[in-house]
Amino acid sequence: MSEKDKDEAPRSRAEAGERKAAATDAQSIDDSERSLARAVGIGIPVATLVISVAVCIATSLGPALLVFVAGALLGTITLMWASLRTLGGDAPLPTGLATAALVSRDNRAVAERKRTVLLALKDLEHEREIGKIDEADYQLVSARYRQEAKNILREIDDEAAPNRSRAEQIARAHLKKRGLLSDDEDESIGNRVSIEPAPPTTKSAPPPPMPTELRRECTKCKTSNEPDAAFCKKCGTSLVKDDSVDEKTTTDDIAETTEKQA
Amino acid sequence: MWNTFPLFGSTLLLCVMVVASYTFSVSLVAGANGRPRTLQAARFGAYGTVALIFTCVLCLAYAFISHDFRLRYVAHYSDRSMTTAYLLTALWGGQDGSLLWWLFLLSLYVFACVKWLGRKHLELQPYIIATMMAVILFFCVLMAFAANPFSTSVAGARPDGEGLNPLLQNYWMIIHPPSLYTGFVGCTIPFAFAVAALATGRLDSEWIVACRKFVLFSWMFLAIGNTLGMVWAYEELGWGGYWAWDPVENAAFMPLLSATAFLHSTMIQERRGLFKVWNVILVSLTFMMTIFGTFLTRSGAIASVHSFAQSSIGTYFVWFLVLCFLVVFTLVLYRWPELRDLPPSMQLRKAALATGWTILLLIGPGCFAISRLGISQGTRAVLIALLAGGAVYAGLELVFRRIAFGLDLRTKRPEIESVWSRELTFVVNNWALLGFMGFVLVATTFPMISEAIWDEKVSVGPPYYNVWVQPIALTIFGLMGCGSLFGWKKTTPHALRHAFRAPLIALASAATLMLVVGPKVGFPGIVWSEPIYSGAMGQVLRAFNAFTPIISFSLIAFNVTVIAQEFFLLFRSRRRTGASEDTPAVLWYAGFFPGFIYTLVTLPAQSRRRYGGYIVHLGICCMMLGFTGKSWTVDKETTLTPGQTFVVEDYTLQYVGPRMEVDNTKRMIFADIEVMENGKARGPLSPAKFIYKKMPESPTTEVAMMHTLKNDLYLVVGTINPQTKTASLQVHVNPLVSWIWFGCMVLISGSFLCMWPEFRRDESRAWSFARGTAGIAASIFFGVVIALLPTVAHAQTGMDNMHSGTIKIENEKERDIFERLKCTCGCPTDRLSTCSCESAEEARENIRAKMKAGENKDQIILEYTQENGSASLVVPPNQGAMRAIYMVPLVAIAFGGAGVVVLMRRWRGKSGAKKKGDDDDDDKPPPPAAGASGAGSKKVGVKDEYDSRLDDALRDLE
Repeated sequence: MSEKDKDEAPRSRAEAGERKAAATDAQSIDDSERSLARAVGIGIPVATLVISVAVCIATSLGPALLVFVAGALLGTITLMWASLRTLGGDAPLPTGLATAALVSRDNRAVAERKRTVLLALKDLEHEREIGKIDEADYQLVSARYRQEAKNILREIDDEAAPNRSRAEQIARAHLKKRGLLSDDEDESIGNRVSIEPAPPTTKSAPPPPMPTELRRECTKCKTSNEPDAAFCKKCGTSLVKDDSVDEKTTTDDIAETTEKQA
Repeated sequence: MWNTFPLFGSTLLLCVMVVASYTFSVSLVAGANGRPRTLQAARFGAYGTVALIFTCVLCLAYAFISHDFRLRYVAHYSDRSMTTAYLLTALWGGQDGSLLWWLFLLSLYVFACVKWLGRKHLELQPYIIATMMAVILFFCVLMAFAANPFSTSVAGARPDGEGLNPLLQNYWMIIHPPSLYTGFVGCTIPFAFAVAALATGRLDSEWIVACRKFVLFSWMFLAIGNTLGMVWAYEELGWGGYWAWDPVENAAFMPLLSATAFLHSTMIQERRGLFKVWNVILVSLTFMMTIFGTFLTRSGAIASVHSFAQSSIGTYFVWFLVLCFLVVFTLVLYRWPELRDLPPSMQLRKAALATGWTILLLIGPGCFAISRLGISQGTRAVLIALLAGGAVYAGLELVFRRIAFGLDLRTKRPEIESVWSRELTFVVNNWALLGFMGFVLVATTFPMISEAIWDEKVSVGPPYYNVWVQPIALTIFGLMGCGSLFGWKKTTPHALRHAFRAPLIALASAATLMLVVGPKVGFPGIVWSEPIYSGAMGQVLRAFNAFTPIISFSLIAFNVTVIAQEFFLLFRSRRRTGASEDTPAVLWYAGFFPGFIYTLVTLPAQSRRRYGGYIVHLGICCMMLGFTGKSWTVDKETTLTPGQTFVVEDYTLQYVGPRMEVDNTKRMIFADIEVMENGKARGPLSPAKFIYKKMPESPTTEVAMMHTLKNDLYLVVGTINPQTKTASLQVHVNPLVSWIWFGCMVLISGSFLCMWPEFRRDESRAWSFARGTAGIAASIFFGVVIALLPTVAHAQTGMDNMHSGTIKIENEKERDIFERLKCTCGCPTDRLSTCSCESAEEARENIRAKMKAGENKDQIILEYTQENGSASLVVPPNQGAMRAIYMVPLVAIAFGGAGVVVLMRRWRGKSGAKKKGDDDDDDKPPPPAAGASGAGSKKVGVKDEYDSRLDDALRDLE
């Protein structure tokens, strides 16, 4: 760290505090604007419709159409105004869109291949069921596809593994901060996470393979579940006997979310 | 402002242009910078554009309601006496208004699409919006500069308008153009998706899955629109048929063919990752066909019953088409690596772009230059061929090789297990459908081409199409059935033999039945007609067409059996796996259909679309049966005095006498006829003439019909003599026509099944049903409302005299000659056999006289042609350059066929190699799992955790 950085550190902390306050203000302003937008979105069409129907009954169709024209023009202006404000950065984005990324990271190729292979397997199953392909051929072709599908699944796992462990670390750190995790857990985790950059997702360093023996089989329906699953994902039977249910499911949830985002 | 309302309207139109441009550019920026904020701005802009277009339409509506005759359009299509409903109808009655109407429909689609997109496909969205805005911009430019509905008449406001032609105020005429429009306009959305996929390079199946519903929806409306067009022609035009191969009918039919091809080939991309280029081309082709169709309707480039208000806007369409082509062309070249699964590198993109543009730039201007040279036809053709060859050589060898030197051009494309699979049949299906489309396209544009190149006017009429289309359509129809018998991936020869057994038996027995029983019940299997060409060519076609009924009928039996077998297999397998218990037994007992429909609706999405497709096929079988009926049509003309009877086929017609009724707008003269079938009374029929007060000089003809599943009795009254009360009648017995309309309904229900929305797993079944039904109902309702909204979009000026007058044909020999010759009256596609105008009557009398004088058919035709020019022949003569009309498409189809064969060989090579490799790896295929059932679909032996995950994933798939 340079000298300058050190100087700026306290100031930026103070600024951060102000910013936080401003952010909550902005948050509430944003929220009120969103609700206003919703109200306008419903209000203008409804008001136009009601007034024009009233005018139509009171006078004739002509004036009612004019009311409609006025309403539509008003709507157009509102929409264009909203568009310009959004473009200028003044208007808040709808919730959900703000965090969405237009350009997703490029693991779509794998996902696409997975989808194709799964579809192929599904087709094969259907063809066998209705007897278009005979058993020997089915076994042959299906085995090939299953192998391919497995390879793809493995690939996806390999890619997600670093993110997964990192997500777990973050979650642990978070839980610890909240006091949900006992202190005897590894102290260094929390510190390390905040400093450590995200591990590279490229395959430069092949991550360890998934510990396969850890997967839990449901006692009731024999479905294979994640190693840290609390309940069976199919039938809902509890898979854990100890008391750390809460923490584990949370971790798992976060890990899964991260995996999905990756 | 108020006294310049027209100006206000025009300004609004210009505003639409500005707003659409704004949205266009903002969405492009959103695509470039990838920020959600910019995208949201573009979405708002799109909604704003929609709202503004809506405002425009409302303004025009107000102008009609308030009788603002300052507007030329309002003055032309309405008058003060019209009711409000008809005033609103006139909103899209003429050309300028119908363009606005088109824009309005497009904006509805844009709204639905943007709304539906929501937070899905974020990366594609900017470009989808941009493409849609570009199309909107085009229509805005068109209206602002060439066909402004808000333009004022130079002479100022008139006291009253001209009003709508009463002839146009009829029901079928009202509903068929809008439903076609709905289909036409809908094709823009998949095109926008394709362009977005090209622009972003996300060319996997994402865009295809995303736009499937839109494709299905527009496909369905194209099909409905075409069928309604047939109904309209059949019920109203009064010439006894339903499809006249009119250029505009063809224009509506061609996008349907290419959209059908697209619907099939997308399935391969989804499953295999193949055909990426092809799908992009198909969807662009479909869109361009819709624009081309509009061009045909509007430009008046080709004579047609539909051409009205011919104007200069044709050129705009041509330029727009060229622009679309260039954009798609460039994008495809730029995305060549992704499309062909090559490693994407800038070098390869450059190579592809340079090659494509080199070829295009050499061929385009080169051909233009050659056509300007004053040289003979032959030399010109040789030069053009040389130029094309040279350009391709220059592009591929000189440019591509050089730039792409050292690049790895081996594709990493997915493999095919077996040639004998559904994949192959879909390729063949695409080839046949596009071949058909190419054929229709060449024939439709041939008059234009012929005039441009050979300076020779020709016309292409129904006899030409009827003869040539039969072999092509029957081939496609046959392939349809064969295709369904193949399974995905691989079909074992044994299973294939098994699958073909029942349908082939059905085919053979249907053929035998037709030969033995057919002639006795009035449906002989072989029907000979006159050849359209003299010489061997004509004889070959004639021979094929003679066998059409029996081939067609057997193929229908074949196809129906195929479909029945598929459903049988489905239900058998469901019973076996126990899945059939999901369907409540009550539904089966409540008649067969509730259970059947419930089962289909609850199938997983993929299978549901498959069986929906089969139902569509069934609909096509029914329609095919109707088309086959054409072979046995009986046309008669007669003149009856009251009390006289006339016998045609099983029907006995007794003319009772004329009857007149009068209402506010017209006089109606009916000819009452008692119909008996095989001696049993079947009730009265009253064909009529309506004489409108507004235009007494052109009475309309009202057809009277009696429908049965076996045949339709179709009566048209020509003239009724007020003194003698004799009526001249045209009597048509059209077998099996009702099956066409029935088939269309089956087809629609099949499309519904394909479109049935997917359910999420966490929904309760009742709720998901409610949601599905509501979704479908809403979309269909809006679709139908759009389709049913009364409109008279095709205001035809040339139609007035089509209904009046008498057609007198004394014998079959005469009919044959009349069929072959065109009427010179100017009603564009009418032949002497169907035209009822005076000049046609004169020409007929003339020919009759010549026949009495002993001249033979060829002589008469020759003389008529010499008198009236070569365009008076319905079938272009089979000589010289005119042969191009069938040679060009046939050669193209042959080339396509060769392409399919090459593709097949390549696949076979691959799959062969693959199999060999497998055999080397392990000699024995893994033994079939003992008692393979349920979850036992796994390979015996190694089984790891991925197996169970895979099973889960499979279960969760859709």
